[in-house]
Amino acid sequence: MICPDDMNRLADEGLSRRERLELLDHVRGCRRCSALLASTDPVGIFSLLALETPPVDELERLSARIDSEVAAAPVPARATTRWVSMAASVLLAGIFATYLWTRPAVIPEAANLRPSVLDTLDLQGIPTADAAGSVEWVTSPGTAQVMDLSVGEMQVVMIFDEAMDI
Amino acid sequence: MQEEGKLIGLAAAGDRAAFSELVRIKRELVVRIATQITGNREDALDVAQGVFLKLWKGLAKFDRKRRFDTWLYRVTVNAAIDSLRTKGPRGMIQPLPDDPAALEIGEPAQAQRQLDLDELQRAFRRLAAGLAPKQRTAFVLREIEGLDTAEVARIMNVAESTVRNHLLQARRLLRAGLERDYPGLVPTVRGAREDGS
Repeated sequence: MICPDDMNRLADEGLSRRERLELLDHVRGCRRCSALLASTDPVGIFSLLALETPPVDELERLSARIDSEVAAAPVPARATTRWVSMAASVLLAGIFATYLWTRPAVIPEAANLRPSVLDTLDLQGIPTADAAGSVEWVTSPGTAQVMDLSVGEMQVVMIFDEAMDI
Repeated sequence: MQEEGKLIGLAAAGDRAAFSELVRIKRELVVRIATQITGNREDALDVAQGVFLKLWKGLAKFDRKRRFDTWLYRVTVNAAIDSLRTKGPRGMIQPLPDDPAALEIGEPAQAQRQLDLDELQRAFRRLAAGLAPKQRTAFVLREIEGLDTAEVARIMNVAESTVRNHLLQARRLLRAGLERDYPGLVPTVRGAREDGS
């Protein structure tokens, strides 16, 4: 191949890979062209690395390793099988969502949302005495209210003392 | 050798023999790209093995309206960058020789006729170790593989302007490295003839 008129062809994005490799092979062996390339575009000299090819024996060993692993690996599920599974999942999700949307909601009666006082208790208090005979009140005398906190069918009754402790 | 599209179809359907043939056709491309990005042949072979296994598992869902090579490049580039980030630039940081004259090819009268690709490769690996992975990738795909900017952008999944920016940075850093560390990498020519002798 004679020296190309225009070394800018190397930067040409329209070159096929074969054309480019032919041009690079010439540049590599031509002092004039390689010097010209280096002087106009020093970094362009690295484009010659396109001529580097991996050794065939390494590629053969690579193929052997891959063949061995693929032989042991399962055949991947085809896209159509996956699409069917996905479609079935979407359909089931849609059916469940429709059920949740259309079933009647349980709304507690308004009266049950306001707690009512069922009773008021007089607390006697619970005393305790130690070995020396002095008395201590475990719980103080006072009053407590019995309140109905039921909601719907769930019955809840709680006793609160004056401090609103249970 | 079966037409590539047919091979892809058969391999996607689980035909191991077709897949093996597809590997033989594409292995050089994958190893080449992985070697230039990782800078290490052993790592590149590991990357290539991973790429093809991933291909085996994912070929069934590959949209055949897209270009297969673009997809293969993208998977390779991503795997090579991951390897580079995980293992670091192994084997790429090499000290400069003590004798600066060793960097030069020699006087015009004694210089080899052909550029030494091994020397060039060593220089590139050393200088490219200073590039960010994406700068290195853009340079490898555009300047070494010779892909056009649009294709590089598709492979890297970035805008063309981003590719151009990566290239600009890569070229600037490599040029500075060449001038500083490898002033004699390429012989100068005095009075060389048109036919290169």
